[in-house]
Amino acid sequence: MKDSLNNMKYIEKNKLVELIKELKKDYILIAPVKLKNFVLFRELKENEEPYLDFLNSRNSPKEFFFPQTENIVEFEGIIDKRVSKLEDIKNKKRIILGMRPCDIKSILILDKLFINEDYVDNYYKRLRDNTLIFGFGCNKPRTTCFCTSFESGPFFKEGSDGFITAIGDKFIIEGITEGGKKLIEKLENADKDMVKAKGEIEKNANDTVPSSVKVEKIPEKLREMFEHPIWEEISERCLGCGVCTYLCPTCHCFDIQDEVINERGRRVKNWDSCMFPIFTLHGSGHQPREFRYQRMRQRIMHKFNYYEENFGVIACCGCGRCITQCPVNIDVREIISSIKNVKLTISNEK
Amino acid sequence: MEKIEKKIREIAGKLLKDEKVKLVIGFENGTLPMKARPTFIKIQENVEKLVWNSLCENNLAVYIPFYRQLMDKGDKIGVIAKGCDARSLVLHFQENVAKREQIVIIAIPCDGMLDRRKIEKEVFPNEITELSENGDTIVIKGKEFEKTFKKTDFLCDDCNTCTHRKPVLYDELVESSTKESEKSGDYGKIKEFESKEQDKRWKLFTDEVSRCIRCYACRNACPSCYCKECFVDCTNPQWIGTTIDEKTDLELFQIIRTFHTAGRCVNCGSCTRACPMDIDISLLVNKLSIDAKRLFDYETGLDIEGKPVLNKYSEDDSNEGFFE
Repeated sequence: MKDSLNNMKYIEKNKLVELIKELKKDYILIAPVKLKNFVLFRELKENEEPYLDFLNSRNSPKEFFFPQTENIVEFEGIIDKRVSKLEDIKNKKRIILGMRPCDIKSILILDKLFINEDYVDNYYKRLRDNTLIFGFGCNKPRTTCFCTSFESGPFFKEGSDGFITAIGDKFIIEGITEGGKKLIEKLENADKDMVKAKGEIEKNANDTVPSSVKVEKIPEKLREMFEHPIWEEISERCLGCGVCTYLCPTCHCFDIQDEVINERGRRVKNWDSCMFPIFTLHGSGHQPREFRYQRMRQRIMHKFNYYEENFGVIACCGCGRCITQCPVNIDVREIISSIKNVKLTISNEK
Repeated sequence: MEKIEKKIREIAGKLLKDEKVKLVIGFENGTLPMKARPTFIKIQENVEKLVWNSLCENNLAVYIPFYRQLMDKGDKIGVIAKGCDARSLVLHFQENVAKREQIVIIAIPCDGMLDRRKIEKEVFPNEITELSENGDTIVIKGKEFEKTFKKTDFLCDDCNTCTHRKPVLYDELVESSTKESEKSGDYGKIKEFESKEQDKRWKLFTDEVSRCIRCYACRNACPSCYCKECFVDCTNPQWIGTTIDEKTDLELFQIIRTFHTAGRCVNCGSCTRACPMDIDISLLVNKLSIDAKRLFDYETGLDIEGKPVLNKYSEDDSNEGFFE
């Protein structure tokens, strides 16, 4: 506790703008910004202020590690003498400010895929390595939040370099990693009362998350459910758009395209979505996932079975974006509970 | 409202019991306080799920193309239809998506649907956890607030300007006291848009579209967008780039989709409501509907015998440019 006390700093909420101005000299700052009546994470433009009075952002901040469009290689010259080059690695370091714990958890989930013993995705890794994450505790989880179902919570700090807690007119900022501690070392130390107030909020935080899903044994059960009528039932309402997958902080399917115009071109990585009819469409014209139920099955299986089998963790962080933004209110919590309620027959179990 | 609900259940139940239809597409309560969602009733016992309120925002005609196989087998589908849903069905009949006799239209004159986004704006950033309605009064509740307001002040833009709240075609009609909107056909928003200088209009359009994440929810929520292969999905030839950093591609997608729905859009506003980035897509599509009305005196989905405006030619047709 003594050690951590030294790492507890605070700043008046109205002084945050000055701090950000200062940080912008050396860092690219990514923070929530208010547009119309919703909040998006984006790189702060000149004179743009972060908007921290929000529940969660509409977009997931995964796009700052796994961009929706990312150049892998650029090339120029005529075909036989083509020169390839890797995109210059941006050296300017970045800070993501105000990321919610569910979204940070999602990055920890994605790390297992993009940075593991067998394979390291250098594009992802370089963005991970040059970014400090300042998490932001959730004082008001939404009714569609279920982060506590995935070993996380409104004040889950793993993955954060620093962690912000809003108390009254102050932000208490805790330094967690060396990088995070260094960044806030010039701020004033929080006093005992502040630390106590922070502790109080954190203590009961998990109980404030209104919603939950029971995922125990779901991965194992799904293994036996590839052929099951449930997929047609839960996908009947689906329109086949990409809202759920594109707003999801853990969805990570991508497609690689070559774009060439005259003598210049690039190989580019774009997000892809299992909800789209073109997803996994073979060059021959064959489509192994022709129907909506097959695509819905892919989404659920990938999150709750395949990913768990491959990386030991379920690819959902309980942020609730797919629930709140689905145009037809398909609710992943209901899907999990229907899977739970399925009584497997002998033929299913094989 | 409860009367309407009761009547819907009665009609749907009878259709299923008499095996007149294989399923009824309607609305049920969802898991969010401000949304009813599409539901698919296949047995009579389940008709109790059917609801009717100001949150039934989806255009249910969008599901018809998914049931082609079922209809080919000779089965029929019942659809709970608002004014806009019925017009979309008429378009489907005109364009041979379904045959008239394959659909049983259960028509409900509609008072307009609530715009979730407008309501959320009132209490931003707080979450609304409960919504109830009684006639024209809407009450919303959250953890630390309760607010009452007039329904008519928070309707979707497209519901405000709706020209046909009473379904134009039906098999079963649920009577209601619905009156056509006072602002029927008053596209003030578009007129304001039209009155701007060209470069301002372009800026407004490109600013809005720059947020597009290419999730295609606008396309998929649209009953008029049912191409077997959408031009954005076509890989050979590839009509349009695939990235989001070439803003031209985002703009092209919206422009081409708009032209594909010219004279085929029923102004239901589904595209705008589906957009997770709050892009006002119907602003663009509505513009072409107004032009279709002005230049050809044509409105989509009114006449099952008629042809969509761009499918017919007359010597008297206006020669004015379709898109200034």
